[in-house]
Amino acid sequence: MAVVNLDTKGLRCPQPVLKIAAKMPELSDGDVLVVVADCPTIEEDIRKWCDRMKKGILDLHREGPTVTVKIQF
Amino acid sequence: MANKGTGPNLALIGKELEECKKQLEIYHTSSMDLAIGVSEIFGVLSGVAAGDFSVRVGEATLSSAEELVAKLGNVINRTIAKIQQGAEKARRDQEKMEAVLDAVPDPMFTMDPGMTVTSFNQAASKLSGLAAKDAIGRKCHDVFKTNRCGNEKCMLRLVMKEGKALINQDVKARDASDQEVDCVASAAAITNVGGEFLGGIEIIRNVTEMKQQHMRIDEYHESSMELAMGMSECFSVLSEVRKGNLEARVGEMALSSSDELMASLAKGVNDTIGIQVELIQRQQDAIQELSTPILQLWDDILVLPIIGVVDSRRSVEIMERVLSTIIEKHTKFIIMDITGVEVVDTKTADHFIKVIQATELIGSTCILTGIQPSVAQTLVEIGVDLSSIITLQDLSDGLKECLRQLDSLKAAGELATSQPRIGDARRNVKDSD
Repeated sequence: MAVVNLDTKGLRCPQPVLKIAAKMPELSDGDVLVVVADCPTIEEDIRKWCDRMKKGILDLHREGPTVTVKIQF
Repeated sequence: MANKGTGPNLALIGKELEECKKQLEIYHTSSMDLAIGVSEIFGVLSGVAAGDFSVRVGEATLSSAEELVAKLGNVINRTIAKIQQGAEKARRDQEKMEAVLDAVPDPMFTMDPGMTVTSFNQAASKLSGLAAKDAIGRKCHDVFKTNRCGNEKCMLRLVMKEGKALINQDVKARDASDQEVDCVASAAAITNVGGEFLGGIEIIRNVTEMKQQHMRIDEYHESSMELAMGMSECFSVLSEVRKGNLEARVGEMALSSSDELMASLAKGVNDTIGIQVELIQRQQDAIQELSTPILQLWDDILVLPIIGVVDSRRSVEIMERVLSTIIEKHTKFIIMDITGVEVVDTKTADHFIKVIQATELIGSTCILTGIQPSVAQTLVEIGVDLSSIITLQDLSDGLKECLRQLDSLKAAGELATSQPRIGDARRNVKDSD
């Protein structure tokens, strides 16, 4: 199981989600993608994306404007 | 006092009387001056009371009245001057206040405790369609007619009740054309130094356009996310394809929920996969064709050269092609040449045996040739029983054996007479020896 980091700080919707999508081919089942973002709608967007793409959110925490999400592939 | 003996001195009395008369005249004159001065002061005060600050106690009073009147006149004149200055300042302050209110870009108005509008700026006039002079004096709920007017949600009532300002409350109001508009309102109480409630001030901002902009942003966000979702699905499918899952397809959801671009992209991905699948299928067919070439070496003799690895799938293909070709060509012999097979395990050997047994079941004889030394060694080591199978060194030996058996069959009359080239074949084989 690999842990892959993705920093999308400074990007606004829908770019962070597209970055995640573009990362998908590199990830295998069981891998964890750690996304760091500061887009105001990122929490809602990632939840929606995970729901649609059938991926699980292992952890989500906010520190100021920055949100860190761990997505289970 | 009478002078005894001489009688009253009339001359003196007359003189005193004369003096008294003069004194009385003086008293009368000064009393009248005083009365006139006081009357004039009353007249001036009456004028001030009526708002006429231009009135003054006249010079005549000052000159004709006693010192008291003169001082009083001065005090009154100074007082009036001060009042006049105060009134001028108040007027200027009022104008300044109105200018400040008008400069505020948001609609703003003030009310007294009875909800009567006491000031109304230009922005408020623009929103309501009422001039300040028409709005001032009316009840505030008759001006904007918001959804909070006349009920427990009235901003001013809440401000009075809770004693604190209300900030950015959602309100629906009526604009100049009586259309409902979305507004945000803030209200605060106006009190004097002693905390006495004097009324309220309210700012009401039309946010209809801003709300529409937010709605447009939300719609843009929604469609962007849909696009991103569709692209994610495309990436996901491409990832699956890369892993070899050619069954993966972009779902109906991506096609239907996103815009034309996404739909065509999804269709492109699906079509590309379809084309790839078709191409791979054609290539697989070609490989199968090439992996099991069956050659007709002679009448009644087929050759199946096998090269490479024989797995379960390939063994099934070999079986199907060998049997169908034998049936189709009514062939008596087939030589399975495994010169090109360098590795054989139990399963591969089992495949060969099954093919050979199946050919015998449909009336043909299968000969195995070209067993490599390493293969032979492996077969011995793993204990494969090939005793029931004709095995020869190479294809040439296999052909000779077939021709020999064909001759035997011909001699026994078991073979059809239509074999004109058998003799030729034998000659050719002998020549090659």
